Amino acid sequence: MTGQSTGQSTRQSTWYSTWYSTWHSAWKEQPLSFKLSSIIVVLVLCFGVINPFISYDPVLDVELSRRDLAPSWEYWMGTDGQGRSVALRLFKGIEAFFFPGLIAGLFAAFVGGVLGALCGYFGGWIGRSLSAVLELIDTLPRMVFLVLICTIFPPSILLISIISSVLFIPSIATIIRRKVEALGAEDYILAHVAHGFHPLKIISYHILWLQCRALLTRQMIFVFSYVLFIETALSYLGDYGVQEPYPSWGNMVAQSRISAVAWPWALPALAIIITIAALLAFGDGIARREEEVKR
Amino acid sequence: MTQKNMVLSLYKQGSLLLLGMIALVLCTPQLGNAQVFRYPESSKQSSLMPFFVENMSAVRITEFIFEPLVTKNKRGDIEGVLAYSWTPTPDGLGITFKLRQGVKWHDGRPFTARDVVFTVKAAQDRKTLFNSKSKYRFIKSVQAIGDYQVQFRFIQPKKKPEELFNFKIIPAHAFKSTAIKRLDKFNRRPIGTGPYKVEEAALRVTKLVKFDGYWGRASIRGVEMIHTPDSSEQINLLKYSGQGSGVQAVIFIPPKNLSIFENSDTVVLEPYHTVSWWYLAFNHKNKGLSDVKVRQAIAMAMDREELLGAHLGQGDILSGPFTESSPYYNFDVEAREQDLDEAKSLLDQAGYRMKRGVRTKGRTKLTLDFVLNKDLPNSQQLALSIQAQLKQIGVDVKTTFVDAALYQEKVFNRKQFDLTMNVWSFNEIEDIFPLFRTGAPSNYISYSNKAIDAKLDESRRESDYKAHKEIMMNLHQMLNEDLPYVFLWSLDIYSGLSRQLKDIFIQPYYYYSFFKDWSLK
Amino acid sequence: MSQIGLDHPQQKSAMLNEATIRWSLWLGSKLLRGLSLLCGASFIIYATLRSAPGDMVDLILGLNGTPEMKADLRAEFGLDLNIIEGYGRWAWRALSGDLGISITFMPGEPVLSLAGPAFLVTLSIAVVSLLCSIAVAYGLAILLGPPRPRQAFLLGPIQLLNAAPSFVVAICLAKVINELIQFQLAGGGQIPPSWYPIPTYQKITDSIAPFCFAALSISLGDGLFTDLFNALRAELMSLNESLFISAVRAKGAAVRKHLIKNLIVPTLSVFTARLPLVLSAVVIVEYIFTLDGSGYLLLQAAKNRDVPVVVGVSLFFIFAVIVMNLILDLVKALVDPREVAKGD
Repeated sequence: MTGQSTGQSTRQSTWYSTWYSTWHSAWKEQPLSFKLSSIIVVLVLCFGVINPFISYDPVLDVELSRRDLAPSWEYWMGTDGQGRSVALRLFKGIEAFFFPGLIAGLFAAFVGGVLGALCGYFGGWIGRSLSAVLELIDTLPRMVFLVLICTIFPPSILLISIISSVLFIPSIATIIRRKVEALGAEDYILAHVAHGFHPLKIISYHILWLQCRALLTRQMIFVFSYVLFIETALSYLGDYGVQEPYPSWGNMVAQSRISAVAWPWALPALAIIITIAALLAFGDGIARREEEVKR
Repeated sequence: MTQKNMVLSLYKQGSLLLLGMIALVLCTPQLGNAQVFRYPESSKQSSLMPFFVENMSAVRITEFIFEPLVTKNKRGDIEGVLAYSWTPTPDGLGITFKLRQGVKWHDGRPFTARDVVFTVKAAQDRKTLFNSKSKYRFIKSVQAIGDYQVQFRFIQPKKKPEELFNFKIIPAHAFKSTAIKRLDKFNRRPIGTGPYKVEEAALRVTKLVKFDGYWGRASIRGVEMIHTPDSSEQINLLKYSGQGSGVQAVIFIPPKNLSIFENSDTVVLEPYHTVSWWYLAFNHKNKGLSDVKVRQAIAMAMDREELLGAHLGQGDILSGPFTESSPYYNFDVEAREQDLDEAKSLLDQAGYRMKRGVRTKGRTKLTLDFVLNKDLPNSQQLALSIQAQLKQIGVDVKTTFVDAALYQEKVFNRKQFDLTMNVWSFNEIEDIFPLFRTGAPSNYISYSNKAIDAKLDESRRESDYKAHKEIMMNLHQMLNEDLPYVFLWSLDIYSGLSRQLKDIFIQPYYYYSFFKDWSLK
Repeated sequence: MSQIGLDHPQQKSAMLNEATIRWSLWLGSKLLRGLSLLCGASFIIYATLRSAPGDMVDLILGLNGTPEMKADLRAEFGLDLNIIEGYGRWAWRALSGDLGISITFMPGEPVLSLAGPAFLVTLSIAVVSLLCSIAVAYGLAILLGPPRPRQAFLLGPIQLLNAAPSFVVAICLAKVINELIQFQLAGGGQIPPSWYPIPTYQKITDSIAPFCFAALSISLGDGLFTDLFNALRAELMSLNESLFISAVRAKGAAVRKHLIKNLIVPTLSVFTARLPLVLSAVVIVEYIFTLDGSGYLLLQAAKNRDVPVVVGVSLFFIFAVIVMNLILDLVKALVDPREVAKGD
């Protein structure tokens, strides 16, 4: 069987075999931290995607007779003060930050990238007024503003993710603007301009896609991890995140105030630490790899 | 290499310094005054001025600072404080108080009849804006006779008028006019006649010290109120009730924490009875909930015993709007037990059938918005269990937790809710008229029932005690049947008090009314 | 213009004059920009708070309040004007140093005397933890020298642990301390040790322990240390290998002085870049250790819809960031005056 398949691939040299071999060699070169972090990121991604398909009724899960059970084979992360399985809630809790984080990350990266490129490319009064607005948003203290929003408006994780993505747009835009300004002076961009390419095409394809892809991905991952962070923080400060009975890692950690035992909050805390560390390492790894490829 | 050595030696010195600092921190002697009584509050006082008292925390702390003309003593009889004798007029339309002489304000000025007159005038001033203005509305006129005598006239005849003079007296000389502003400095640095005066009102701590010129006597040298929003932190502080840090009293110990102090050598659990009851309110504007059968079904789907036991501890399950110690409580009315079959058949009778897991009749779905105030103790757990119980009969409940200001807006102003759970607390006796009378101020559930309105009006008119009681007991029965609320329970509330305290007596509402008798070892 | 030689005294004085003008213009434009940012950001916060649902006036007067009473109270609180007029009045007073008075959290208390000390606590925690982290990061960078693969065994775990959000570190720290105390005092003790995370008296001078715990959590969390370490190490390495240092070394002069002088700007920019993030982290961490900082004030004031206090506290945050950026610009310009010469 194996012989036959290798024979086929050598004969046809299909797209997937070349892709596989390049990918495989690239994977082998990566440092351990990148390997580990990408495994965790992929796990989180998979869990996040399959999450909506697994139904969980937090109301019916309440069973006061089995509260605060220690980890065992049946409940392998124990149960919390309401008798709910910590493992299941930890899994379902991914949903709480996964889609908001994804939305926030994509939104911030897209808007930030476009605005940054526009500011950098056009300059003039458009660029100047745009960057003035961005600077204004950037001066708002992020945490203070989020705490404010969450205290005075009805709590909703979607609101949190939108506000945090808006607060991140300026910093992303600044990074992109610098990059674009640096690129604008480069010969090949000038050559494209001289060739009469439409500026939009130059911005979107030659600058944003070819040059800033890795930067934007990294920023997107950063915003994603920030949403996780902020959801947890706000849950601790006063139940501003996802509301009980629905689980989120944030409101599980916030249980540390009331829980008699450690696992209902310590395990989610550990999950948060590992996920954030993996996300950041993964983002760094991607950016570094892109640099190496360019060289 | 030299750089490295330099850094290494720097590190050595740095770590030595750090160790020294840690040692210093560990060895610093405990600051603190042995004779100071400290207690935590979960909310900060709204003001230190008696008029602007809007939360229980303010009710309690003003009790140290101000005094009324009369108060109820430990046996429940009226006793003079700033007044020592009083004579009601025979027609019931007036009363004359003789005031205690030699009483001083915290700034040394003498207390006179002028202050009493000023207090009433200020409370009745249209420009003084506060919540409990109605408490002063019965007074038609007030007049000082000399320095130590005050005469009041009423609008309507009163049976025992002296009972109504338990409001706190403020000094006339501290204000320019009777229109008292909320932002006045007096509200942070008040001057009273009470046993304690304000020394410092800081961000989190309010410090009071014994007033040397007090006319009576008080034992404990000082009082400190510490704003501690987190209830588990309050418990932690009570565990260290010794000198220095730690507190000597926690006013409300959540039932799940009672076991910590059950066999404690340092803390004693002191039960006290508050005149307050919990309820689950329906919004009667909701089409489904305006049907009494649906309300009854919801009441029957709930296992109140279990809710109470699991989340709040001990208390009495109630069948009507009174606590069991109230004279109006009708013991003939049975509290509904959980009966799911009966609840389901009631819903069937009302025409609600199961449709995709939710009871539906025509276009009305029994999907209810359950709005809760986050500050209500254990509200999350309670809401969760209620949700689970109602789901069994096909009533779908969606919970929203909001903070106090938003709760006010959502529930009381905009009435954007179907269900809500809350507590009514009363000073002494339950006055249910404003809760259920059509159009009354506290009837935020838009409840209207002609028979009940008629009864409530009758109760207001009736001045004979026995007949009044009869009416109230009747009302209890009617309200239990018509269910404007599901009456839940009244709690057995425990305070945790340090064993260092002696001669404790807790007033259930003001809490510290008899604090001057307390002593601290 | 700037290439004119300094041959004649007249020219010299003209040059000096021109330089002063250029400097003051530069500084003026920076200040103006800072002020307009301050105005814009505080307006955003004011407007957000004013447009929030839920009114404190309703909460105060409860169900007994009549519409006239509510209107009167609104006027007393300065909530009767619309958002723009209200902000205008506030900003006009703020220019003369009057940030208004608290209306519901501590009624009547001037905002400045509430927010000032609270912000000082927050700022000092942030600055202490940042400075300590920078010092340790430099030390470690010098000790480790240039990056080598084997260092990953030391730096990897540090990086992993450092990724934890600072308040998660703080929660764990507080829990551990509490457990320790409970274990120690299991025999019926009542007197909490002075390192109990909840301060006895809410002043730093009375118990420094909670303050230290907060600063420690900040340094350990949020990747603060790793980021600082990476940035400063890269700076140090590139400087060490740069040509002019080699030249200095070849000359036999003291390298240290040159190193320090050239590290000031990068260190300062790392400091300013990190300060806002650290300040926001402190807001939560100090809440956990119940320090009377701006976190507590902000949350309680926002709960009470106390518009002047919330705007006042936020103003301090914005102000700190703007001032730090201004200082950074100034130092940069002093070290390298070409910035000013370029004009803005």
